[in-house]
Amino acid sequence: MTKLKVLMIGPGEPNALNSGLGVAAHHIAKYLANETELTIIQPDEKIGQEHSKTDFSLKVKNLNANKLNETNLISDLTKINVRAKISPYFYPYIELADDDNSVPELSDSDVKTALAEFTQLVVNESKAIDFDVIYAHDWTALPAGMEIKEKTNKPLITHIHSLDYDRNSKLNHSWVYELEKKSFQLSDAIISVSQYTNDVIAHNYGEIDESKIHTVYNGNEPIAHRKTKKVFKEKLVLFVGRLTGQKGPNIFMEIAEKLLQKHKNTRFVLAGNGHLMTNLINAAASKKLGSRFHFTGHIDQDQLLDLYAMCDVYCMPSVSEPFGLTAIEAANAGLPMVLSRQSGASEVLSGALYADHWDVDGFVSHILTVFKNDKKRKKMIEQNKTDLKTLTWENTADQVLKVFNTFR
Amino acid sequence: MDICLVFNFHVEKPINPFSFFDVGKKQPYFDLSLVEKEFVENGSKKHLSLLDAILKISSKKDHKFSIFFSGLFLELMVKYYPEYIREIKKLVSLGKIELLGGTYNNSLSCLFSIEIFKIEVEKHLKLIKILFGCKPTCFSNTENIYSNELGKMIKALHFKSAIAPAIDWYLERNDRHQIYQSNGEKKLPLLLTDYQTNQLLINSNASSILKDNSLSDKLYVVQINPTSVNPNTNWIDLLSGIKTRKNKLVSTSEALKDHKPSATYNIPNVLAVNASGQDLSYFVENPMQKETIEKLKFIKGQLHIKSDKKLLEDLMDLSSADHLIRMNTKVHSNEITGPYDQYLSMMNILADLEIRISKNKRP
Repeated sequence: MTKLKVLMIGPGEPNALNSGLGVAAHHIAKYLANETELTIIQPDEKIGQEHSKTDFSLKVKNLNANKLNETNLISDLTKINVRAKISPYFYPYIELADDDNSVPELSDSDVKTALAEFTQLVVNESKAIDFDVIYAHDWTALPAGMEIKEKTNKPLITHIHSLDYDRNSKLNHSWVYELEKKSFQLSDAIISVSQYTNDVIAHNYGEIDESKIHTVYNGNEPIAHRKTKKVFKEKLVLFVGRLTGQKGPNIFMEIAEKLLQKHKNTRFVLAGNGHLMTNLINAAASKKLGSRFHFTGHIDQDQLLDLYAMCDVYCMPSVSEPFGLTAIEAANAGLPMVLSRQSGASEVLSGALYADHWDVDGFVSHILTVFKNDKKRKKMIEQNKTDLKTLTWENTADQVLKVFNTFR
Repeated sequence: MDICLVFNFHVEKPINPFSFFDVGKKQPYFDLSLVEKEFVENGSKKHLSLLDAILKISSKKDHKFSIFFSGLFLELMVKYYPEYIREIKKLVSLGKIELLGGTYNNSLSCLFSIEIFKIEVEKHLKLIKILFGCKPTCFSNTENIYSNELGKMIKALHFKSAIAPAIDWYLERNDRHQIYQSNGEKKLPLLLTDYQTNQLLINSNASSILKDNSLSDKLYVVQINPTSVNPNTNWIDLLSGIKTRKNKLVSTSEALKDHKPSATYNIPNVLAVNASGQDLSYFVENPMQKETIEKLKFIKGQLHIKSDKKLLEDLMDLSSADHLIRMNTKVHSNEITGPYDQYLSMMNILADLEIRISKNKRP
């Protein structure tokens, strides 16, 4: 059987700015490169970190997409209301290192213009490429995907790692939401990273034929187990994520406040950066939590692995989390965890404890269980490790391929 | 009129950026070599030009000056400019320069621990005794913090007078240019200092004050902090200009001889207005500053003062007002993260100190 020719639009490698999306797309591309004839068109992102060389051979077209580069549009963008209430603006998905605050704030129309330019470049590039299916990752790849589909009549498969619905307030629908909605209607197949995201698409994006939505979970890579010296005598509860409403850092602080009343010897570590940082610091100080609530700011992967080794519980109170790769990582590192039910990770980690994101008491009582019930704690860790064995990137890519093959 | 010029010489010892990952790893809280480098390269110029002017004027004429030197400032002077220490000692013995007492580290300890406050003051007295062979009699507290309780404390530490801030709403129409006495059984004479007068005199607008009041029997206590004055100030001109034919430049103890306390200064709550007009809210108003003070107080409670000498030294260094003003979001509003980073570093350092204290307690 000849190999299927796939045109992938989206990042082929992770960098400091595209986070989970980049990681997932990279791993999937790596396996697809063996099974298909894969061409990737991606924006040439220079901000953040040096280009990591892809460790597999395939055709990669790096597009010098001017504004898109400067502003890292390909990264997952979130719309928030500016404090000055002038107009909504955009900011990049992942926390930037403290010394890199140079990313310009963008107006809605800047983003639209940059996206239109990027789309045009992708569409032009695609003309010289021979392909059977179009494979687009998340919203910045969608306009190009739709336009190429329209021109070539080739099947469009969209892979959704994160939705405007997750990142944005659910109360108002932005143009990004409208873009996603239109693409869902046009797509021949939609791959989503969890049943949770599946449901969000099916129930919040108008009339979508549910039979074309496929859940394909992300994979994971084992991480070397680390040992660190215990520095604190108290138990450490860990939060990892962007400091934005979606990830629930403020819920984490409420959990901390209540948990400290019941279990004094606890410290909380909030790892990540984001626009809520200064508000959260002020809140921690006002609640007199400051000495028990540690903000790490931006951290690198190495420090993150240290944190997994240092901490006793991983807590993910996300308001809406399509998947939650850090939960998988933490499980891999052997951390017991309490996760939001509104997350994809909760579908695959049967050893975790769950609470709805609004149920602060539920989180508190689960964390106490982990602290006090050693037998249960160990069982949770083992159960998660068993689950992780089936959760490989190879399996993920296989399932993506199965979806592709329905269009042969 | 009498003018009592009080100079404050102090060097800041800023905390290092200290991340969560530094806690428990024996990382230093301060970078003293950096402080010394900064002092030698930049800081000393501001200080030395003023010291030169003070030494020159007071050795030639019958002008007297009062000076507060913080502990770290003196340590650095001994190390890099010992000739100044010898010169000052000579003028101190001649009564031309009067040295004031205060906290060793420009500390806010009086806000959370009287015990630490006393240790800081005594440590400072000891250094003055060693270097200059004298015992200060007038007390100048960090940022002019004052209250009735502190008045009693200062008296109990055997000081004969203290500098207190002139509080506008309290004084109303009462004259601030006279000596008051503390509220309490044992009275402590108080020299009130008023930052507006400081500003007028420093900014070379002295003539109006000097002209209008030259025949009066008023006492002007003027505080000068060389680091907050234009670095191009010609100190000789400025100090010479303040002295006219009709006024006298007096030391604090001379001021007490010539002016008798007239009324009681009743300050039940802790207040402060420093030489630049900043009040207590600059140091302890926002939640981060409040939390830091709380935490310092908590750590003090954990500490066994007699046996944990090194830990006590660190706690005293961390109690400096300098660290708290860096958390002020209004003063440092241009730096988006500055005050927040300062707070996070401070919290991590205090967590580290707490761990060291608990380890010390283990048998």
